Amino acid sequence: MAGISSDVIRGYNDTMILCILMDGPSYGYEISKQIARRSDDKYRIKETTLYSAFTRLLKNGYVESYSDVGKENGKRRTYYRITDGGKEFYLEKCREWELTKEVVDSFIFENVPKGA
Amino acid sequence: METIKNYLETMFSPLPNNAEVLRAKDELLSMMEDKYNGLMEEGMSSEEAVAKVIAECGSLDDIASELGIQEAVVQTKDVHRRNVSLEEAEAFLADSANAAIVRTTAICIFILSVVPPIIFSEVAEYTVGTVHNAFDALGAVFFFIFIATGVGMIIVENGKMKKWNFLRKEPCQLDYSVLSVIDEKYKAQEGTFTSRLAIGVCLCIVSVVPIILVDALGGLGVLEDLAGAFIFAMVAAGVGFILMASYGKGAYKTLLSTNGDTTVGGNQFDSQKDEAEYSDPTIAAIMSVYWETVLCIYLSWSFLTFNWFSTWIIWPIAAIIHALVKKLFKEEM
Repeated sequence: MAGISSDVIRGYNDTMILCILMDGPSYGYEISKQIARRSDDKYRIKETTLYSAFTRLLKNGYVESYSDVGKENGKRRTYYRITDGGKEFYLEKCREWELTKEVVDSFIFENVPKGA
Repeated sequence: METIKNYLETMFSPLPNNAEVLRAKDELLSMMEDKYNGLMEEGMSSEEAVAKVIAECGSLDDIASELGIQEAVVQTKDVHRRNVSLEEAEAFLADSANAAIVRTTAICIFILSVVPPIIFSEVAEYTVGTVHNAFDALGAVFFFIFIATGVGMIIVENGKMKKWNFLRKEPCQLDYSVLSVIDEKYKAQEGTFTSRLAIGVCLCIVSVVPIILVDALGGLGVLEDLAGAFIFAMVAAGVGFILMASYGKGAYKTLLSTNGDTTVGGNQFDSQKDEAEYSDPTIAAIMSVYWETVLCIYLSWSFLTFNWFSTWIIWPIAAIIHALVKKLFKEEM
């Protein structure tokens, strides 16, 4: 039964969040909704995983957090925005994935019909 | 929504009570609330939304390394904590209330046990010969009967309360929802406990008034000795009030601190620590040797003046000063 390897995806949770933040600041639930939407609902990130990623990104200085009030319902939340360091890191990870994809792809579905 | 909050609180309850953990809990709650509202907007029913939010929440493992709590998470998995339900908690409180009455009565009986000898020997003064001896003996007999009754009551009550010993001996846990109910009950009763304590202390202090009055009025023979017995009666009453307050509070304290003082679950309710931390270091230094100092003052004053009948007043005054200093200078945690 095929699914997503959590080991692999774990390395790219931060990248996914940074990608979304490139479009502008956002908050927890909105980001998780975007992840589900962009991945066509193939990957739904858990709240704890998301929080863990935020903490890491903040620690490394790739994002900043600030408190703000939502326009729709006036709820006070923590918002995140990407930093310059974050943008650089995002580019690095993009290149890294391209390289990884190239390497792994050369071993995929060899000697085995695709869709087996 | 309450279900989600309860779920999160229970999940976090064995973790240490520090800023990072609390921040994680708050942020997770905020995200889960947003998700719940989002799902409802999309047309899901409340129950479905709650179930989905909780199912997709994740576990402590995911955030363990970020919060530096790997040890705590592993520990909670190893230690099996006995869950205490709301019914059990309320049964415990009911039993404790009964036990409090029985134990308090027993101790009051102990204090009052010296009254029969006093009264009977007083009566015996007015008789002679065998009647005199008989009355003296009667006093002693009643003394032992009182003691035996009190001891019997305590032994029986301890037997009844034995089934609740697990609360103190085994690691237990109370769910957040149970804790809130118990805490509300406690807060409702807190006033009663405090006033009982106050009444009890006052009765003890005032207990010497009769003998002072009798003394002042020039010693009225019989009344003088009976006034002595009266002290014990008043002290018994005062101690009774103090004990009722103490036992009552103690039962709640047992329940409210089963989750551990330093964890998120246990520490949501007033710190049970009695040691206060003072904001001023000089005050802190003085207060650390407060009671020893008071003892020195008491002994020196008493030995110098030999006025033991008045010097005891230093203790209530010292207690009041201690409470004042605590109130004014205690560091707010």
